[in-house]
Amino acid sequence: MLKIIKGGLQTTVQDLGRSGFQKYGVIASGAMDPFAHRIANLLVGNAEQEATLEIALVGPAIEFQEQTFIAICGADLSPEIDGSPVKLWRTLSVNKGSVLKFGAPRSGCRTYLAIAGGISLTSVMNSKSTYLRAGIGGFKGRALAAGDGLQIGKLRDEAADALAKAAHQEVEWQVPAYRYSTEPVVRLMRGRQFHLFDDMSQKQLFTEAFSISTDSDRMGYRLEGPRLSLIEPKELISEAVAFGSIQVPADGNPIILLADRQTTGGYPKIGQIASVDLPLATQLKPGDRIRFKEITLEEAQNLFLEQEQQIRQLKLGIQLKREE
Amino acid sequence: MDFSFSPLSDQAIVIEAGNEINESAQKAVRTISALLEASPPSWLIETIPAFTTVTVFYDPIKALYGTVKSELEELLSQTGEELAVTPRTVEIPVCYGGEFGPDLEFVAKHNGLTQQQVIDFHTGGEYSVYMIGFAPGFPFIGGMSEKIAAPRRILRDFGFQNAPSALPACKQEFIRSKLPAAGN
Repeated sequence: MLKIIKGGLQTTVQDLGRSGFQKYGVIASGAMDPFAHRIANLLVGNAEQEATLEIALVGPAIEFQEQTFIAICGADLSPEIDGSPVKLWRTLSVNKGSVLKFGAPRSGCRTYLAIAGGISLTSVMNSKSTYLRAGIGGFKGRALAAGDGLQIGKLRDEAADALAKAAHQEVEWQVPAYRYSTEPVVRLMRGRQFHLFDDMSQKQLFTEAFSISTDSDRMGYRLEGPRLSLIEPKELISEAVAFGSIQVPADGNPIILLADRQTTGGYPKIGQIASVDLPLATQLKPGDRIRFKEITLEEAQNLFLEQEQQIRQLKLGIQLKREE
Repeated sequence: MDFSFSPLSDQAIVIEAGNEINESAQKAVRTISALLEASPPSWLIETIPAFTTVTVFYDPIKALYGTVKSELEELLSQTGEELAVTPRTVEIPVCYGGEFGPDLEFVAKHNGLTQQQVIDFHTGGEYSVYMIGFAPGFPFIGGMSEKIAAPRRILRDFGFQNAPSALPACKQEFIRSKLPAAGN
């Protein structure tokens, strides 16, 4: 059992999202940084899609009421257990009664806490992700608050032995980790309506920096910078949007659609962030800046395959280390 | 049927079955969805049908864009029309006016009708659900009589938490162009 002593800014249960129900208007949700989420799970022997806690900027305080293993991956929010700083991207052992707290954010915006055995919650439409606006999934459909208790999955003895060993190893995993920056260059494909934008806007998209406005959340980030405009006003027919679609409403300020995006949209899409670079965008905080670099679909797909290959190797590496 | 294909992302492809909202595009969209459901390719993750498009999300580990596109072309070369689900008709009880429909009076005044006439026009129609999107179960509906059309005011309280009343849901042209975007 995990006892929440303090909820933090927005701590929610997330997995890899609610797939298969978008045709009914049910949004995908899921981890904003799926890469960090997956690695955290792998480090504690969970399946990649098991639920983790997504922790935003101001972390929670959590008491572990039983001995277990955890991993914290993603943003560096200065995590400490019982007052001692702990490392990210590692298997950590926690004792019964230990308290995990977070401090100042050093890099990134969201970090993922995976617990060995996972979080015992009933899936809603095949997912444990919290969809905040609809109050669906996760822990009672809401962010965690002081006093909440989360049941954690049971570990098999062999798994516990292996994790205990892993927790004592000082292994530097070859995690293809991201360098979260406050002004990253994010690779972007042309959007389906890129050609409808005027020359100036097409150029500025790839030459100017945009800042993340305070009106940004899991649904989307509103950007401020040069206003982007169409060659002529055009009414579009609503169609599907994706994680990382950049749409431009009439005011000319682009919006990056993220994990809690609506399923469809009617604004022109000027760009689409390459999947491998999504974490660079979703780890940004209001006030940070973002730049875009053009990439082709083919390059984006190749980068995706390369990254999946690296994750597979890491998975094998972790397994081998545990069996040593 | 004629289709065009283009990428939405590195994990999604859009099949376009027309460039205006009409029954034939809608029928094509239903047929494509039915074909994919009847024989889902191994790379298929999910689909999002809309007014004139079906967006297909796929797993690039199993197939890249080119393969997905050509397999879709192959799949859609079948007529498949017999697979298209015949739409069923449901009857939905509606409470008009008062706390359930505070804009009924506005709609009536705007169109120079009595409130009862608005109700009669509205209940007398048959509507097509063109797509479901934006929020869970939210239907984009067409076919409402122009005689009871009203400007945006009727959408003033629209939000995720508030179930939309029947009138705005019927006026899909408004919804399409005026929906709040991300962050709202």
